[in-house]
Amino acid sequence: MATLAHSLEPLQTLEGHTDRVWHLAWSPDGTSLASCSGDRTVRIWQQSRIEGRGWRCAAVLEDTHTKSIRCCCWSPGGTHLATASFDGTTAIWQLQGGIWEEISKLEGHENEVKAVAWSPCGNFLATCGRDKSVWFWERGLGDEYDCMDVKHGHSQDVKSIAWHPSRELLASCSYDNSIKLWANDEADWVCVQTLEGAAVGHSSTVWSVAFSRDGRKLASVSDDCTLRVWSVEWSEGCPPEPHCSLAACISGHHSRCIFTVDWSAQGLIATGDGANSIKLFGQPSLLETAAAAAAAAAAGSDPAANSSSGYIQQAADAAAEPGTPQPAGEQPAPAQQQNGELYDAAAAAAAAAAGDAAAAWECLCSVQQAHDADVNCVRWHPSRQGLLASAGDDGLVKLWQYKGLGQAAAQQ
Amino acid sequence: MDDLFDSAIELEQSHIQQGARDGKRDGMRTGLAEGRALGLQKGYEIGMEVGHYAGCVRMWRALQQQQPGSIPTKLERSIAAMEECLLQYPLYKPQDEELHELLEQLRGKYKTVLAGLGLSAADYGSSSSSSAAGGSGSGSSSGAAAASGGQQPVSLAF
Repeated sequence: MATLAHSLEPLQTLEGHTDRVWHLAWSPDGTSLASCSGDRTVRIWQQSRIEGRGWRCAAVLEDTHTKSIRCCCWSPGGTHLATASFDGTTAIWQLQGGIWEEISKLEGHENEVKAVAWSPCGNFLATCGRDKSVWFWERGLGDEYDCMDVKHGHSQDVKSIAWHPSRELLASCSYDNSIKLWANDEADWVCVQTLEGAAVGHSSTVWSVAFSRDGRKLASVSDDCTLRVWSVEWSEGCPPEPHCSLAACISGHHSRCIFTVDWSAQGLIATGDGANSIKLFGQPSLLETAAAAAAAAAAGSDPAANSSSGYIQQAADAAAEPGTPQPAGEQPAPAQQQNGELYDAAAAAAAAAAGDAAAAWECLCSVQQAHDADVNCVRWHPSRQGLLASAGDDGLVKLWQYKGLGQAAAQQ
Repeated sequence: MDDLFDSAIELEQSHIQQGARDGKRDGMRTGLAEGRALGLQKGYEIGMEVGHYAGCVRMWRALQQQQPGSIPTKLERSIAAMEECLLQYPLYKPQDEELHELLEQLRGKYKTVLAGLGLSAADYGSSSSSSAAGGSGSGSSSGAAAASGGQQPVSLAF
């Protein structure tokens, strides 16, 4: 299987907003895309049922915020939308009978709210803002959200927050160049780690953070033009404690401030920057391994007889990863395993994780002038492989399709 | 001949050393004065803020006694946490490492209670130095809060 070139092709441009588009969020079921803007509205885009017609604006949420809407976020069940605004409030919307209605307004921040994020369990909402604080809200009776805790750890404007996909862990990033991790200790939230400092942390404002879909990695982007990947590990305690360490610092690809970052299901990272470009990063050796494994599965070997050996093959692939990428298409013969022993699941997983961290990152493709101005947000579709949405200061939302190595192996 | 030049060079050296000693002495003097002024200012700010929180907690407790039900029960945890912090607050240990952490904790709990009461910091004439919007908020202070916070002797005993 030859290595294909990686490309990001434009699919559609969604016009409608009359000011810069700050943020995007795909609904959990993937049928809707919410975009929020400096024009104080949120637009919900949906795919037309008519074949080939593309996406169109299905709803406009307006007349609530009195200033720019900086961030929007869907609830995990896809029934509610939260919007964070420069007017200092966070509104909660619900779709009722086909109409979006504001059902609640969270007040408390002293000035601009920069981001809002719903925890994956749906019970917590986190907001952050220019007043240097991170607020935790808890869902109460009905649609009430009560303020649980207010954290002042950051010394400057907090730009963005992101929840871990499966644990109650929040990452926040700030103009103070640091990233903080917050965990729940009964009803109090505590800063369990701060990622900062020479040679480890960023050297300028950190604009955005994102956990990978499997929760094992955290990516952060900054005004210092670097993309950093951190590995997330959990201690054996009860409750288990998280700890992040720097796994990779990817620099030299961006000439301007990087504003946004997002992980795809396949482990690709998309970034948007102040040079109007969108860049995709991946670990080619891991992508090749994944493609080879997928091809082997698709090749249809006898499932009953080879299920365990198939697993061993994949484990051997993963374990052999560090420093010895398998050529795509070849599968190691069982004889190559050490002493012919079977790898147990834990060893294979540990080896895979070590391989993940060690594998080199490369810029797979770069789209210059993706927008006519700063790219404020990039978001991968939750389920459709390779579908990417971007939002820019030019007031446009654009949809892109990524085509690369992974596409050939996994037929849609 | 060497001695002649040596004394000339030494003269320059001794002047340099004298200058360094004078500089150090004067620097320490002004440094001490500056430090004192800064310490006074910071101490005052911290005292003001902690006192404000103590006053608010006292008022909320009094309200609870006189008008049961006026303070929602869900705020009990946060108010109790503030009381804990205030009792432990090292007002007289300026070099205590926890000085700032505890102050931040107080700030956080205070905002949590205000949010639970549906009020903003401006409503309470907040003296909190964390408000980026600055001092303009403290202008419109509610009478009760200002009275209990400002005129009573400093006593954090509950």
